[in-house]
Amino acid sequence: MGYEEFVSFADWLPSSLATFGLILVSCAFLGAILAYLVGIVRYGPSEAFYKLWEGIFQAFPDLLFTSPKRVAAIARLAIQETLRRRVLLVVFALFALALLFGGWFLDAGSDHPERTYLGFVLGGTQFLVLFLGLLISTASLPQDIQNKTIYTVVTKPIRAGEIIMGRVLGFLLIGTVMIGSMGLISYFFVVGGLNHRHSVDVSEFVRVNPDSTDTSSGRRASANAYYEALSTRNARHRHRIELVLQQLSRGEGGSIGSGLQTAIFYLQVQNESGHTHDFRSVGGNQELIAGGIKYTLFEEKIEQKSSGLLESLLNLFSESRYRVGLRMDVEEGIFENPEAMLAQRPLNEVLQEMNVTLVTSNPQEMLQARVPYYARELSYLDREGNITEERGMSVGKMNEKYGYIDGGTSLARAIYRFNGLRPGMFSDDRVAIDMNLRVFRTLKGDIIHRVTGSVYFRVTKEEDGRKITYETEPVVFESQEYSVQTLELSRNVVALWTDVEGNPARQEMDLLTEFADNGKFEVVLRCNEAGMYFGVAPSSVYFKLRDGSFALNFAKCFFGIWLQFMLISSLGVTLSSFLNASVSLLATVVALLIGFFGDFIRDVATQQIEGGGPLEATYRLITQMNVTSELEGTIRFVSYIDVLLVKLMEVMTYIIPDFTQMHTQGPLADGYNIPVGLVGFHTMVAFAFAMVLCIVGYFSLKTREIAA
Amino acid sequence: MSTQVESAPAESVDEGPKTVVETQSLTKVYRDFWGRQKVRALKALDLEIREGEIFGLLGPNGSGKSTTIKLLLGLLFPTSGRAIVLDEEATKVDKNERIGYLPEESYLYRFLTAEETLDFYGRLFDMSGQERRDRTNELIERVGLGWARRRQLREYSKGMTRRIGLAQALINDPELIFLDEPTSGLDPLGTREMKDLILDLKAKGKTVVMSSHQLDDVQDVCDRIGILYQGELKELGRVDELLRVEDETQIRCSHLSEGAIDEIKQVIAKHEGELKDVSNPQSTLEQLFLEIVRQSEERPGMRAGSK
Repeated sequence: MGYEEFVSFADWLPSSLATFGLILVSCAFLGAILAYLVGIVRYGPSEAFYKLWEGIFQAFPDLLFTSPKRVAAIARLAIQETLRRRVLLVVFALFALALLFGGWFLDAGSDHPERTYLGFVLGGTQFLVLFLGLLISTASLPQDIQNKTIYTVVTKPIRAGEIIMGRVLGFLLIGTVMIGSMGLISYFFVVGGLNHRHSVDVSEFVRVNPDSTDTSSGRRASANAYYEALSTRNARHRHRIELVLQQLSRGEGGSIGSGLQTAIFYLQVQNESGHTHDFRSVGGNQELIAGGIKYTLFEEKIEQKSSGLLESLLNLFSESRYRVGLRMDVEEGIFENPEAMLAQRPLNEVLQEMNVTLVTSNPQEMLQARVPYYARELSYLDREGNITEERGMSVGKMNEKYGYIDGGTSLARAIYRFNGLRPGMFSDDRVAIDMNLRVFRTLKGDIIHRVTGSVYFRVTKEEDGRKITYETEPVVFESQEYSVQTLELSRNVVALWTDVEGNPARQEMDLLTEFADNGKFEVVLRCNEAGMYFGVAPSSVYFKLRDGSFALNFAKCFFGIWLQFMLISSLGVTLSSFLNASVSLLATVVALLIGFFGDFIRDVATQQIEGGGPLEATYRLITQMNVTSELEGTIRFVSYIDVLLVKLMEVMTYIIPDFTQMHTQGPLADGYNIPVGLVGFHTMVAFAFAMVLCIVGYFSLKTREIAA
Repeated sequence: MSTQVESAPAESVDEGPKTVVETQSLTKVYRDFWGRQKVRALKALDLEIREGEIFGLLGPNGSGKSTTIKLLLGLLFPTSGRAIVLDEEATKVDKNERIGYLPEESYLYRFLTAEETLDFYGRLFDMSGQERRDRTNELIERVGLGWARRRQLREYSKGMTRRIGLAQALINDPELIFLDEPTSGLDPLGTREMKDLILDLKAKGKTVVMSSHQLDDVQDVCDRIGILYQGELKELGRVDELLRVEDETQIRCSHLSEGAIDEIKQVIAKHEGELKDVSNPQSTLEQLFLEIVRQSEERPGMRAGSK
């Protein structure tokens, strides 16, 4: 589920700019040849050459003397014209209606309601906005020509390029306002639609056994959980609330002796439907003294981290969140263990006596923008500790991204090499590793516990001409399959190594500044159980950096729609500079379809999808013929025509930009930060296309006989 | 005006005003989609229009008047021959700085008001804001639309649209103005005003090229005319020369008695002249109409002609 940052933007830009320039020059050359051929037919060879030369020669001053004022005038006109057509109103009304009624039917109780919500608003906005772009951009110029209003425009000192650019700009401005307002409304719709609270009846807290599924929720409680209760059902789900022991401290002598002095429990809301909650304020600390123990219900405000102005602005509107806990201070008597303290008076009774009302905050970790930091390299080691050429063990035909490592041996490992991690990338002195593992079992194993694995850090440094390998103590974890699990580790690690004399040495170090070798170190992953295998992919282990802003991520996604809108409107305007309104509408729709279904068309062309090209498929549909049976007889000739058609379509997919790419809904809905480099890449691609389209539009309008 | 390009120093050898429009065997053939010839709209037109004159293109519908003007504006490309306007090929954009054009019907954006329209066209000339405002106010007053300047053009009558059309053609204070059927669709009063505006332009030293099928319009304002018929130039010359009847003499007198008329008849007979007609001259309907309107404006509520 990871979204790897593609080749970094800075690496990509220079080389692709060169390629782009090369393609541009060769296209221009081909275009000139084509224009000359057309010219020969119309004017004869010498006259055509003269006209071509003149046309090209004039393009440069035309471009150079492009007047912003004239472009702005046309843009303004395009906006006024569009406003008058009331199409904006219709689109906006549709959007409002969709949100109004859509809210009723969106399932907030699904596994990932945020995906449903985001998919709905993004899909809706995209559809409406692209439809709008299609309508306004293809109609404008043909209408102007048909009404002959263009006569009074082109007889002014305006350049063809200015007419094209002005229109594109005008429509873009409309699109910006539309997408901006739709985005803003969508944001509040999503956040508002997903916000919900639960309350907890404290009388429902019951004791749990961490090692059994025998709980009221039917799920295994987390380690150190002593009590659990179910929250009220809101937004079609309930959370398990646990009282988890967080801290124990023992006295040193004195009246309490070596018995327990304090025990601190925290209330934790367990993940459900892909999110958790914090709590609202319980109205300050409350104390209760009973049986020699002072019970304190306390709350700690959670500081909202914000990076950037936008975020801090949005934080102003968000509610305060608290961590709520129960602290037990021993005042009399000696208690050897927590159980003894709890025997004195169960915590559920304490809570009940305090008459506490617990209400959760709005959901957390639902709308997030995780920033993954992927390893540079991954190698798989087999049972003998040798690096395997293939991706780990073969366990049969599984997901081809995953390679499997053997369990129950310390030598079979997956080694992720990281480079360039800095302390500033994390929000505090902890590092978080996200893991998305697969497990392949060859035996049933322990039915209650999940397959365990361990993770440790490793680095090899050269000191005084000797290579020394430092390793940290392994952290054991239970694997969760098919979901992302987070391991939060302290940055202070204990490094173990063998010193010069061959004696084992250990020292506490900071992982990123001291342990790592100039930012380089390895994360080693092992499966601890024999007969089990961990499936890991290059993207399945990554460091989770400080979260990005969801609002910003949301904006990036809408910016993707904006880019699509820009492409559509420049395509529409350019096509309508030589086609009439309906034909250019059709042509733009076709281009849009190819842009959206490029992958599919390529698959058809390479025959990865059976059933043949358009003609063959139509024949098969009509005759209800199976896609795999051979065509027989003379009808086979359609497949030969299809080869040409499909080839043509395939070529088109390489000319028209991939629209789906610019729509970064996937990472947004999955809660991953959309890398700025990726946005930059899409922006460059979109602007390059728009620029080329404007050039084509310039030449086609310039050579067009307006009054013909 | 800053947008106006200084005209090149006179390099032509011949005397008199310089040529602003020249066509050399200008030909336009309309073709259909397959390139087959449909209509030969203009056949080898040779024309020269000099600075400061009002030139009229005359002819019935479909005779090639509009085609000629569109070729001169670069809206159409010539099939063969050349059209040179202000020393440049007609298809060049630069010449547009110095020309104005009123199309046969005022093709303007109907959702704009008069002010917005002129402002928009002013922007196309890269005029500054102050310049646009001054020019807009001046032109709106000049064409008499001050009272309707904030109304959308779709509410305009035909005559008003014509006037705002002329105003947009003059936004850049052009040297050369093309008017395609300037009086079409106008009432006699409007026609008269349009003709006065054209004469006014001439007085300011502008060159005007106009087309019309209303002969009296052309007669009233044009210095020279060319008569087109089926795409061919049939006649070209000064209006007064073309219309002069060489072998007739016209005498107009007032307060002449019956006796005096008889005497004159005798004198004519003595000199063997042929008397064709003696009568009270008829006013034209146009003159009558204009007189009635003038009187009504002077004394509103009265029936014109009553004393």
